[in-house]
Amino acid sequence: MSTSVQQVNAQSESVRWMDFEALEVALTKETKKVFVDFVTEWCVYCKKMDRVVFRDPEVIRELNANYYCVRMNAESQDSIKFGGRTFINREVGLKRNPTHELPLLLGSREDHPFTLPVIIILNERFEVVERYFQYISPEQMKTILKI
Amino acid sequence: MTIRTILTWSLISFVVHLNAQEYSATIKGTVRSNKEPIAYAAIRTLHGSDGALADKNGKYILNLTRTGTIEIEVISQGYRNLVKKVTINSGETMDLDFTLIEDVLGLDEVVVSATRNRVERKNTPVVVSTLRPQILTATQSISLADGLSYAPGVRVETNCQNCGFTQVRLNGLEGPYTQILLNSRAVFTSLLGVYGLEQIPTNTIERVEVVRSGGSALYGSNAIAGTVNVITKDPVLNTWEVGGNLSLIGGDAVDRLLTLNTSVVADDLMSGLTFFGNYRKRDPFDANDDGFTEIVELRNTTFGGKAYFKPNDRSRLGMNLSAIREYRRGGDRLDLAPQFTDITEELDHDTFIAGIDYDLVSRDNTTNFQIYSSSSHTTRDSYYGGLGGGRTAQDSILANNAFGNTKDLAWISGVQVTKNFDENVFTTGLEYNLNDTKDLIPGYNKLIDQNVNSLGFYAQYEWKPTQKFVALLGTRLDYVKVDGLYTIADISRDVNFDDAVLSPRLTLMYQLTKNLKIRGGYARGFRAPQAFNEDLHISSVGGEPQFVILSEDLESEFSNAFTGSINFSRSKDILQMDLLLEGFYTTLKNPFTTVSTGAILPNGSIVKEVRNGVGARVYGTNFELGFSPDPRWQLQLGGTLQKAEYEEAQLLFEGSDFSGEMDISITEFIRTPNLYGFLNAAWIPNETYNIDLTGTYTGSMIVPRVISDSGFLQLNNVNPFFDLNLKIEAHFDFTEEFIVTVSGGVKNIFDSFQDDFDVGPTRDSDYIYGPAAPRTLFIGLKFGRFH
Repeated sequence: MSTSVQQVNAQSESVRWMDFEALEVALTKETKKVFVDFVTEWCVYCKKMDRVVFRDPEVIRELNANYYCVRMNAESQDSIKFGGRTFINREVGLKRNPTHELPLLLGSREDHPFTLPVIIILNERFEVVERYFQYISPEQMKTILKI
Repeated sequence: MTIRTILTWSLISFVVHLNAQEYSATIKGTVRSNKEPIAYAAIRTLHGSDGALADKNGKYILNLTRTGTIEIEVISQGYRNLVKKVTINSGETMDLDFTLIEDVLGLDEVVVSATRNRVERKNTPVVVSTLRPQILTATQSISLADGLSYAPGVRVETNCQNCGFTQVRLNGLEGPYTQILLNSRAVFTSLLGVYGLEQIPTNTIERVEVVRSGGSALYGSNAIAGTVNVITKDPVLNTWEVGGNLSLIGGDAVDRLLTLNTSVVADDLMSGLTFFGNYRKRDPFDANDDGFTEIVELRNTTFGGKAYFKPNDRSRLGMNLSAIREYRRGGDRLDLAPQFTDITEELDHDTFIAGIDYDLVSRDNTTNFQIYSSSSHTTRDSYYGGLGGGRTAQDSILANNAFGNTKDLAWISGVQVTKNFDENVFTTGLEYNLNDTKDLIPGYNKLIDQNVNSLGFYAQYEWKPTQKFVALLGTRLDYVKVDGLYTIADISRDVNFDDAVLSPRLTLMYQLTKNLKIRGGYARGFRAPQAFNEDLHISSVGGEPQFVILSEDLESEFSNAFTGSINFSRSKDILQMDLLLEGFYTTLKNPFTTVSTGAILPNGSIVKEVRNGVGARVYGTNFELGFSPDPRWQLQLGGTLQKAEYEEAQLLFEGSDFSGEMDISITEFIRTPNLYGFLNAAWIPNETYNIDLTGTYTGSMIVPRVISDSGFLQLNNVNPFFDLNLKIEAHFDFTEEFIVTVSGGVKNIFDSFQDDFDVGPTRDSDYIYGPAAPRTLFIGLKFGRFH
C-alpha cells in the first residue's frame, strides 16, 4: 500500500493537525488511532496546551507516529462532510458562541455544559477510548499517550 | 444522537474504502497558496473514494481506482476548498498543482464576540455591576479614577485644584462610605483613599466589581454605600505587553504613560507569576491662566509582582508585592521651592503593599478554607501651604513651616471557611484589621495620631430552597477600638472609643419568570468616630490653609439601607438585553458632617469640624440598560436619579457675632447631583477595528464656595456637564507572538468643563466640580503577545 501518509517524516517539529475531511481520507488509506482536539480562539487553556503540550518533542513524535491528529475550531461555521453525513453549526445566529454539531456530539456530557478544552482519543476501530475536559499538562499527556 | 451512531457510520464507510485498492492511474503535484506550499492538505475524488494527503512540502500523489472525467477536491483547514475537473485515462500519470485561497471569514466573528464586551449579569442575590477591562480601555483610562464612573450609582469627583484629591461617590455618599478593596482585601486605608484612586494603574486590573449598598456580610461594616473591589489579573498564558499613551490636555498639558506587563505560567499551571510596571508623568494644567493649577503635576511609578504556587490540585498559595511612588504638586510657580510660592500642595508618597494567602479545598470539594494577610505601608512627605499672596515676615515663617510627614500602616489578616451543602453555602470568618496613622505638620502644630483596631466575625448562609429563590442571611459583629489624638494650633481633640456593633444583612432573590428577577435587601452599617481621608488633606482658602478636625464627643454613625430591584434579561438568538431598575433608601443617623467654623485660628486659618449632623436620607433609583443586537454592536446606558437630604436644615457654616456673618444651612446634600449617569457604546465592525463612544453626564448640583477670608460660603447651583469620549482602535496580529494595537481619540469632545474656577493666591481650592479634564486628544500604542 503506497500512500502519501506514510511518506511524511514522523520526526517533523510540529503536530500534523488535519481536519475531519482529511481524517476521512486518511482513514480510508490506513487505520490509526485518532486524537481529536476541539479549540476556540478565546479558550486560553486550549492556547496554553497548544503552546506547551503540543510543542513537546516527545508528544509530537508520539502523536505524529501513532495517531491521526484532528484539530477543529468548535465554533466553526463550516459544513463538514464526515462518515457519509454533513455536520453543520446549528447554533449560528442563535448563540453568541455557536458550537458546531460535531464537537457537541463528541464532547457533550450529561449534567455539564459544553466546555473547552475537549480532547478525545479514539482507537483504530474509531471507538472513543478516553475523553478529557480540562487542561492537560505535558507530563499528564505523556502518561495518557503512554510515552 | 449518540457518539455510537456517528462512529458506526464512519466505520462502515472506512471499511468500504479500505477494500478498494487497485489503482489504474496516478495524479501528482503540489498544493500551494500565495506561492507557498501548504502542508498536509487532503486531496480526494469527489464521486469516488480515492484520497491522499500532501506531505509537509505540499506534494501529493493520488492513486486512482477510477478513470475518465473526475473531479478532484483539495481541503485544508483555513483555506477555501478547491475542485478541479480532469480527464485521465487508465495507466496515465498526470501532474496537477493546486493554488488555494485563504479563508478570511469563518473564525473572525468568534474572536470578537468572545473577547469583547458582553451583556451579562451574575446570577447572585446581590446585584454586582462589573467593570471589565474593555471599558477601561474604551475610555482610555489611565488610572482607576478615570474608569470607575461607568457603573450605575458611581461618580468620581476631584476635590482640590491644588492636589487633585479624588474620591468616589456611591449613590451620592462621600468617599469614606465606600470600602475600596484590592483583591477583596481592605488594604486601602484612609490615607490611600485621598489619592489612591489615581495610583492604581489600569493595566493590572482584570475587573472591578461594584456592589451598591451593604449587601454582603463579608466586607466591613463601614461599607455603607457599597464596595468597589479591584481584582487584578491571574494569568494562564505566557504573555508580555508594552504600552504607551500620550495625551494633550486642553491643548496644553502633556500626559505620558508607559506600561509593562508580563506573565509566566508553568506548563502544568501549578505556578505562575505576573510582573507589572507603570510610569506616568502629567504636566500641570492651568485652565484660566491665573498661574495656578487646576490639574496638578503628577509623576507616578508603580511596579510589582504577583505569584502563585499550587502544592497540589486542592491548595494554592498566593503572594503579591507592589510599590507605588507618587509625586504630585499643584499651586503656582511649580519650579520654585514650595515655601517661595503663594500656594503649593506637594505630596510625595511611598507605598508598599504586600499580601499572602493560602487556599485549601477539602477532598470532597465541599469545604474551602482560606487564610490571608495583607499589608500596606505608606510614608508621605507633604507640603500644604505657601505665602498666600502675602509677603510679610509672618507669611514667610508660616510658609517655611508647612512641611509635614505622614506614616500609615494597614494590616489585615483573616481566616474564612466556606462549606457547601448541596445548593446551600455557609460562609464564616474572622478578620482583624489594624490601621495606624501618624500625620504631623509641626509648623501648624497639626497632628493626627490615630490607631484603629477592629476585629470582625461574620457568618452568612446562602439558602436556596428552590431553583427560583435564594436568600442570603448574614451578620457581622465588629469590635472596634479607636485611639486618636488630633491637634491643630491650639485646638486639641481626642477619641477613645471602643464598642462592639452587630450589623445584620439580608438579601433575597426571586426568579419570577425565565427573564425576570426581583431582589430585595436590608443592611445595617456603622462607622466609628475617626479621621477619614478628607481629614488628612488640607485645602487652601483666602491664602491660608483650611484644616479639618474631629469635634469633641463625636459619636458613631449608623445607617440602615434598603434596596429593591427588578432585573429583566433576555437573550433571543444572538440579541442580548439586560435591564436593571434598582431602588435604594438609606437612612443615616448621626452622619459625620463637615461644618466650617470660620477663621478661628490665631493666624486666620479656617477650621472645619467633623460633627454628628442631623439625620439624613438618601434615596433614589439606579438604572442600567444593556443592549446588544449582535456581537458587533453594544450599548450600555446607566444612571442614577436620586435625592440626598437632611431631615432638617444642616449647618454648613457657623457664623459668629464677632464677624457679623450668619449661619448657613442646607437640607440638600452638597456636591450631589440628582441625576447622573454614563453611556458606553461600542461598534466592532471587524477584527481589526473597534470604535467606542463613551460619556458621563453630571447633573446640576449645589457646590459651596468660600467667598471671604472668614470662610463665609456661597451656595452655587452649578450647570450640568456632558463629558463625551470617542476612541478608535486598530489591532494588527502580525503573528500570534506579536500583536500591535494603535488607538487614538478625543476625551471630553464638547470641552464640558468648569468655567468659573476661583483665581489667584486667595482662591478656594475646593471649588472644583465636574469632569476631571477639559478636551483631551490622545494616541496610544501597545505591542506584545497579549493572548
